[in-house]
Amino acid sequence: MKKYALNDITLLQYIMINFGMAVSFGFIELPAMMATEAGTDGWIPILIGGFVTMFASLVVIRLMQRFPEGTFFDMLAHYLGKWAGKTAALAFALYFLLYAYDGLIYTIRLIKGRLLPETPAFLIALMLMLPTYTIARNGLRIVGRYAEFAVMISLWIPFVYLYTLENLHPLYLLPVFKEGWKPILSAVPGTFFYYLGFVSSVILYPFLKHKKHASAGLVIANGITVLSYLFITLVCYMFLSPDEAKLIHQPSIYVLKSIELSFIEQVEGLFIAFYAFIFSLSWIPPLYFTVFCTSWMMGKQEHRPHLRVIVILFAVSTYFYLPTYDELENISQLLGVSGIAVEYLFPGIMLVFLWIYVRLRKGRNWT
Amino acid sequence: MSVTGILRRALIVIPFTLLISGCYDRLDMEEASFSLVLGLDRDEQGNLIVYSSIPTFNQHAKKKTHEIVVSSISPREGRLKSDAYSVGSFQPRKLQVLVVSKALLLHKKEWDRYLDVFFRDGRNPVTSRVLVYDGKLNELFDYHPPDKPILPLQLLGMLESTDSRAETVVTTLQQLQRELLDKGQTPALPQFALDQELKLNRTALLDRDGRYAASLTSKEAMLLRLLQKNADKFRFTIPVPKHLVEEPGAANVLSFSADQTKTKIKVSRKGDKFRYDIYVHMPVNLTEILFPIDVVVEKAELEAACSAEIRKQLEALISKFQQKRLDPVGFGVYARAREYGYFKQVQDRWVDEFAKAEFNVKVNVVLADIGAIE
Repeated sequence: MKKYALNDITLLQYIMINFGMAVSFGFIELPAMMATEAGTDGWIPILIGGFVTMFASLVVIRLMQRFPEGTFFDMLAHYLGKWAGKTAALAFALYFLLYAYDGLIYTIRLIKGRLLPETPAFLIALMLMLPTYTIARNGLRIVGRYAEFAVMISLWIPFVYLYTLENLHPLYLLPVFKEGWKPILSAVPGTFFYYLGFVSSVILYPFLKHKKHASAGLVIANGITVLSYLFITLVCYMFLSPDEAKLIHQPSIYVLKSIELSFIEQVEGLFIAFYAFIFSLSWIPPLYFTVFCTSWMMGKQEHRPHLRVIVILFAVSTYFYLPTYDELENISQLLGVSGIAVEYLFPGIMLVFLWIYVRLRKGRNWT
Repeated sequence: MSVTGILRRALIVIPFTLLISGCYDRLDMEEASFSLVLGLDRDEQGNLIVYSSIPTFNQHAKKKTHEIVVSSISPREGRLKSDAYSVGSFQPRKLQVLVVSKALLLHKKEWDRYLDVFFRDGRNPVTSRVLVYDGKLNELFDYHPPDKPILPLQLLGMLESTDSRAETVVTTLQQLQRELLDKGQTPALPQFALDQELKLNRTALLDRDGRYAASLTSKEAMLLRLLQKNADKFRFTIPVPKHLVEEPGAANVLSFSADQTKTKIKVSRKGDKFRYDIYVHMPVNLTEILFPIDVVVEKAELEAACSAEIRKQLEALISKFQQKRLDPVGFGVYARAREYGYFKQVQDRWVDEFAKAEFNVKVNVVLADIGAIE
C-alpha cells in the first residue's frame, strides 16, 4: 500500500514547504495591510490569526490520520468512491493553480516595479518558469529539498534589518490597544490569506517519513510564519510614523531603502532579487500539487506532461495578458475567499462528515 | 548522459540564454549623467526651477561638473527637460543631496508634493540628504571655488562634520516624509548659506504644513538634538555667574564636552494641559576655563552653575518652540504614547496644544574630569 514511500520527505522539508508557501509575499504586504485596518496594533491580529491557523492545520492532520497511507483523494476514493476522489482532486488542482498564479503574478509585478521596469513581463515569467520546471518535474522530494535550500539561503534577511535599528522609534507602538479590541478583531480574517498553504498536507501527509511528527511540523511551520510576520510588522511600525504606515506600499522594502552601506547601493534591490527564492515557494510547490492532482485524477503516474503544459501556459499567458495591480488584488481576493473555504472550513467539515459517515455505515452493517 | 544528449540540450539552452537578457534598461557608467545634487527653487512668478549638478568624468572637460537649470512644472518633468542638456542619459538615481531654497519653502504652497516622485518611483533614492539653502539657488550652482571639491562633496562633507558636533540635524528624504506625516512632530532641516564661502550654521524648522517657520543657531540645534535623544556628544561654551569669577575683568566663560548625555522625558496630563518633565543627566569634561577658579574646591558651585545655564537655555529653546508653534522634538509622540485618548482628540491641532503645555526641566551636570591642569 506504500505507493508514496519512494518519494518521501523529511520533517524539515515538510516544515519548509509549508512555511515558504505561507510566508512568501505576506512578508511584503502584511504590514501595510494590517496598518490600514488596525493601525500600530496590527501585530496583534497576526498573532490571533496565527493561533486560528494552528488550530485549522491541526484539523487537517486529524483528517489525514484517518487514512495515513494515502492522500486525501485516495481517502475519498476509499470511502465514497472513485468519483468523489476525482472531484476533490479537480477542486484542489484549481485551487493550487490559482495559488501559484497569484504568487507568480505578484512576483512579476514586484520585480517589474522595483527591479526591471523596462523588461517585458513575459521574459521575467520565462526566466522564473525555467527553474520552476526543472525543480517541479523531479518530484516531491526535490521540491522539498528546494524549499529547504530557499529558506536556508534567506536566513540573512532578519539580520539585514538590524541596520535599520537606529531609525526605529519604539514609542510609535504605544499605547497597545489604541482603539480597543474592535479593529483588532475585525482585522483577523484579513490575516488568513497570508497563512494559506497548510492544506497542502492533504497531499504531503502520506509522503511524510515520520507521520507522528506531522502535527508538530505544521505547528512549527506556522510558528515560524507568525514570528516572521511579527518581526516585520513591528519593525515597520517602529520605522514609520502611525499615519505614514497606512500610506506606504510594501513597507518591508521601504524600510530597507534607509540602509546605506559603503560597498553596495540600493540594498532593497538585492533583497528583492534574493527574496525571489522565497517568492518562488509560493508557486513551485503549488504547481507541483496542481499537476499531482491532475495526474491523480487521470490515474497517471507521470506528472511531467501536465507540468509542461501549465508552465508553458503560464509563461505564454503573460505575453498576452498581465493583470494590473487592481486585477491582481481581485485575484488575491478570490484566492483569499476560496482559501478560507478550502483550508479553514473544508477539512473540518470533511472530518465531521467522515466521522458520521463511518458511524452510519458501521451501524448499517450491524443491522 | 550520452554526448549527443548533451549536445541536444546545449542546442536548446544556448539560444535561450542569448535571447533572454533581462536588463532592458542597462546603462553603462560612461553613458550616464548622474545628477548628484538636485536644487528646487522658485522664480518671481512662483514657477518651479530645477537645478542639477552632474559630475563630468571626461578628461577633456575643464570643469569638473556640469550644471543644468530648467524651469518646469514638476521635478519629474524637470528631469526630462534636463536630459536634453546633459551629455549622457540623465539619472537621478544616485542623488546625494536635495537642496531646497528657503523662498520655495516660504512661498510655495504644498511644496512637499514635489517629493512625491522620490517615493512613488520605486527606484529613486530616499536616503538623499535634504538641505535648505538661504538665498537664490543660481548663486549656489554657479559657485565653483578652485580650492574646493565639487558641490555634492562639499555639501556632504560640511553636513557630516556639523553633524558630528551635533550642531544641526541630518534629515534624509525618508525622515522628512516621516516627520511631515507624523501629527506629533514638525520637521527640521539643516540650513546653509553662501557668504563668501559656504557655511552651514543654521537649522530650519518647518511648521505643520511643511512651510518654513524659523531657524535655530548651532547652539540651539545642539540642544534640539539633546532633546531628540539622537546624539550624546556635545561641546558647550557657556557663561557662568559673575560671582564665581574672583578676578575682575576676566571673561566668565568656560567650555566643556559632554559624553553619554542621557535625556528622560515624561509626560502627564492635568485636564486639557500636558505637562512634560525633562531630566538631563550630563557628565562633562572641562576643556577650557577663562577665569581663575579652584575647580576642586568649588566643584559643587561650578556644577550647579553649569546645570542652571543649560537648563536656562533649554527652557528658552522650548518656549521659542511654543511661541512659534513648532514641535521638532516630537513631544507629540510622547503624548500619543502615554495619553492616546486625549491626544487623538487634539492631534490635528497638536502644535496649539503643545504651546499650552507646561515644561519642567531639570539638568544635572556632573564634573567627570577637570582636565590636565589645575
